[in-house]
Amino acid sequence: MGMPVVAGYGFTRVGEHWDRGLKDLSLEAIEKVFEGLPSVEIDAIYVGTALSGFYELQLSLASHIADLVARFDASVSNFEAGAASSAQALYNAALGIYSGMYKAVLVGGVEKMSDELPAPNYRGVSLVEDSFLVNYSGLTEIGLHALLAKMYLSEYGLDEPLYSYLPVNEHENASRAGHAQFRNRITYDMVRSASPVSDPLTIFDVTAPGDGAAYILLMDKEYADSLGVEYVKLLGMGAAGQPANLFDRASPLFFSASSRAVEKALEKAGVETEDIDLLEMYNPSSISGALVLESLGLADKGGAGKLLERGHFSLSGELPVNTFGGAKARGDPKGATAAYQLAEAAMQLLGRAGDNQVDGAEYALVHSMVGLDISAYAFVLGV
Amino acid sequence: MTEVSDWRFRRYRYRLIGSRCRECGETSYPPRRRCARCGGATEEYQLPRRGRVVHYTLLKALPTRYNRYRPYYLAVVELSDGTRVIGMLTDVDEPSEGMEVEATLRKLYTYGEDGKIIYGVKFRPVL
Ligand SMILES: [Zn+2]
Repeated sequence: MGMPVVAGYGFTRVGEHWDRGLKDLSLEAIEKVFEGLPSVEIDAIYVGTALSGFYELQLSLASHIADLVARFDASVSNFEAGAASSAQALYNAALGIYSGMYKAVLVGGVEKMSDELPAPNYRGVSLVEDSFLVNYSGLTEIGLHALLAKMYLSEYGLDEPLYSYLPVNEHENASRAGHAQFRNRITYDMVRSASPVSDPLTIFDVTAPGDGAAYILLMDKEYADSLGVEYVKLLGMGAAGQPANLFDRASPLFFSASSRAVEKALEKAGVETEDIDLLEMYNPSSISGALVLESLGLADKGGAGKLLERGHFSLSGELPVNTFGGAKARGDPKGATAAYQLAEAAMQLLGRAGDNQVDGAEYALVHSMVGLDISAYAFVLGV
Repeated sequence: MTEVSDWRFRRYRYRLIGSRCRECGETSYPPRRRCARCGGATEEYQLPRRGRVVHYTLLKALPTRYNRYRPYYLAVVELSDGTRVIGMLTDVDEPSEGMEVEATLRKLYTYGEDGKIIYGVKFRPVL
């Protein structure tokens, strides 16, 4: 049985790259993956994109990425699952390595969101939710998060939306990250007094569209050893799902798919929650971040905000979260987002995180989800 | 969505037809084919028209099709049988939690070169 390791990573800055397309961004990221590596034979190319068929009208993207880098001997696969697109790609690439079928897979994602105006974007990113509700009930992803925030505040009797300390922390971490889209520091009061997108959420509570590409070189450990390259191990992974409709769930405030996926990944890795040194989670809003933390048992129900306010999840806190700013501040180029998360976790474990380094990090947990926890993925990385 | 899929979903758009589990009685909107709670087979079920607003939000970030209603209220409505659904509020200036509402047929949007009009369920205050 093979053992997947992350032997390389590369990404572009997240931002508005008006002059560059899916292929330009992918090429920059992929060239960085291979920088400094000896010649590597690639068995497969797995590419995630949430909306390339929507923005740039390019389907079957993995075939075109293989063409772009002239790797015609590789098998190609496409993954489309919102911000978890490249998490799905990674999950399946790892299966190929565990099985012994593949020795090296280039896996990642790309998105070009700035080509569209905000209104079509709101529709595009909402389409991971049930399309009946999106098309006929006026539901949007942001509206759903706002209603969840209302439920949260009311269920736990909270007057202050302290979960808004999460974007404060994320912007702080991004302020020292060269690849981040938003490097400005913000305060809790700035989040609360910013213009509302859907009350109680303001523009600082939710992620913005961004362009970006991130790729990972996943290799079998033996192959990586034979080439003498540095790597981090993919020790375990897990996936699970739950109903898309919030009211078909046992509790809308519990992300059971995320909880179960992480449980599976930790079990496979033989690692306890307490051993985790940092968490790269996916939260397209402040409230969803609080719910991820609470659903993973890292905060009491209704209590994530207080911990965030206290700095528990900041870079110098007990459990650093989203160490380069997460989707809010590093940026959320949907199909590429999970590959950024994985690359950032690898940088931490390799001691290459610069000003954002979590000292002595040995284990990292990466979490990804489709929409509001309809499907979730978790990866445990270790040195 | 194409014209054909708009047509295929017409029953559920027009009349708040959901589903009910034949095994455990769980209700859902939009309808499900298998119960999320017990996995049992479901049947179509006419949900009650009346309910109350549990939570609402004023949505300002809108997809193109709904821009003409900018901004609009999106609400969690608990129907009189306890089923919770998400829907748009209409004919209301300032909603409130607990406000009595009823389902009504309203224009959702128009699209295409010939301006096809799509109707669907929204919730309005009970007078
Ligand atoms: Zn049932």
